[in-house]
Amino acid sequence: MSIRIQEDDFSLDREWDALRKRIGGSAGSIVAFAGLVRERARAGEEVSGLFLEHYPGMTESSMERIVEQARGRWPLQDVVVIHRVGDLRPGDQIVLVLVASAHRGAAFAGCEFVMDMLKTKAVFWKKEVRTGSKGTWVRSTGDDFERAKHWRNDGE
Amino acid sequence: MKVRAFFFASLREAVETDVLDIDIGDGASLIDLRRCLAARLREDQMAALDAADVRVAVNRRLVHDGEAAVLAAGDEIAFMPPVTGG
Repeated sequence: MSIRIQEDDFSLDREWDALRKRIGGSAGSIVAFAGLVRERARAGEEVSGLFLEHYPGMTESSMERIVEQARGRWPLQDVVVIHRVGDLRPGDQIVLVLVASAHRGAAFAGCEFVMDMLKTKAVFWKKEVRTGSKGTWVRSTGDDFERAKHWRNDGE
Repeated sequence: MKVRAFFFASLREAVETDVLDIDIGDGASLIDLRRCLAARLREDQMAALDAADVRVAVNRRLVHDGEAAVLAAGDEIAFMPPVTGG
């Protein structure tokens, strides 16, 4: 298990290898998701970067709670969540989720659940920065809330 | 007693600081704290803190059951706009 918040970039290779070492032969699958900074906001306008803010202490607990909930729903061997904060540029990696499980179904579902919850429940704030303007604080979209909500309704 | 109010993201920008030290009477609640803040901040700043989608955390735990609970000396009160991770 590894849940981290950091300004520095992360390496999928390094996290993957560390995870494989931890799980040994206990898991039959790993699902990986990485989120990147898009060069365009949802409305289509160009952004020069993102600024991500968090609340030290509280943000970590919000991430731990999400991972605990995922582990309560699926038999997950191991979970890695790395979330970056600070100034990011288009193309930069923001978030990494690795989920290891005996079978792929749980790994796919667990990974998607963790991402959907990070979007709506994790304590981060994200600002789209534009050249020559003050920027806009991003709000979760209807789609984000729908995706988070469907996990409450699917009865799994 | 002394408590600290923290402001994040858009609220930090609205209030123009990330933290305010507040001297407030013993036994004060979050409702009293808002009154105290209203005396120090501009009306537009206070309106930002009073918005319906602002969540409040005391010592890094979200307040779910209204703002009447009594604060203690040294409490850390955070005003948080809607979150967006991932």
